[in-house]
Amino acid sequence: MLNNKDDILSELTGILVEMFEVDAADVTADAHLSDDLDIDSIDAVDLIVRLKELTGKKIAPEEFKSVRTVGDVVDAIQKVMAEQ
Amino acid sequence: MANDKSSVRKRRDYYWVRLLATASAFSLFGFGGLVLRFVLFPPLRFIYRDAEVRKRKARLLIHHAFRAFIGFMHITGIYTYSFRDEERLRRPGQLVLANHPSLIDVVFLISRIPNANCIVKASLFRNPFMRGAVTTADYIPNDDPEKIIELAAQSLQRGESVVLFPEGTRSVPGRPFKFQRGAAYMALRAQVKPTLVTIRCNPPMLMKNIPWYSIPLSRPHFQFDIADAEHLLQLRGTDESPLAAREITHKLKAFFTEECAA
Repeated sequence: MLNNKDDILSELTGILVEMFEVDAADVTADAHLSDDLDIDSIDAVDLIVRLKELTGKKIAPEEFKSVRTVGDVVDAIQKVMAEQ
Repeated sequence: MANDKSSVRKRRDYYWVRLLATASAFSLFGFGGLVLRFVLFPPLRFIYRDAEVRKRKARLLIHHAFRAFIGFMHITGIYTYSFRDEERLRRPGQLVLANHPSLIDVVFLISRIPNANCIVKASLFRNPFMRGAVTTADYIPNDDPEKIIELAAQSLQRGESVVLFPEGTRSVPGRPFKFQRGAAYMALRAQVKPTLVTIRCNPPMLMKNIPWYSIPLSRPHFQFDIADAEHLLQLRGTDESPLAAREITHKLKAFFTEECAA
């Protein structure tokens, strides 16, 4: 279910809407987490926990340090899913 | 008629005296920081063996030093000021949240709070003038958001008051407030209803991005109004979550926006 970027993005959109009440229409690959979606570093900590539940894999906070946009999050998820 | 000087009572705001006094105040502040660090704080190590007690005494010393400093700036005519209900700030274990129009807001607030913890710029821990005070008083550096919230919540639970400017930095006049959500997380984690201090400075002085010597032509007045968030916020039974933090932050922002619009 998390094989391609489109699936990951739609899954992630659902999570962001549920957790932070962002507008689903604003969640695009280019959307900047803090500037466009008002997701701050504390939210990011909660998001990492939630993504761990989703992927069943651990995402190191360091992985997330370079994350700026929704597209970066999708890439990060895709990367951990590819790892065995 | 307009030329009749006796009929025009000009308010005298002593611009040059205030400018000179402001320069003295800046020097005095730095000097005071060094006196605390090298003269007043070292003996605390020997007098108070218990680190907790020492920290509390250091904060009390800073409180009195700030009170004297606020008085100095007042008698030299840099500003006038008034607090409404200032005794409410003395109660222990309060999360004191304020808007942040000027550089000296924190000095005013700590001058009224005997055991105040506060969140300070991490760079002050390396500043030779401020290092002694911020380390001995065990203030919280603003580097890691999660650590700030945890340390502040623990501090509140120990009965210390925590002073915080939810904007994170001084306001930019004429721009809408931009609040960070750390204050809301602290309130939720410690289950403490914030005490809200509205600071009005008219005309503005020591604003963000304005050099210290650029003082207003007329003498500023600082007004501090203290309010409970009793009716504003509902914390009991509310779990810490991004949505709860957003709602509280939203309400805080609405409160300060309305207070400061008047």
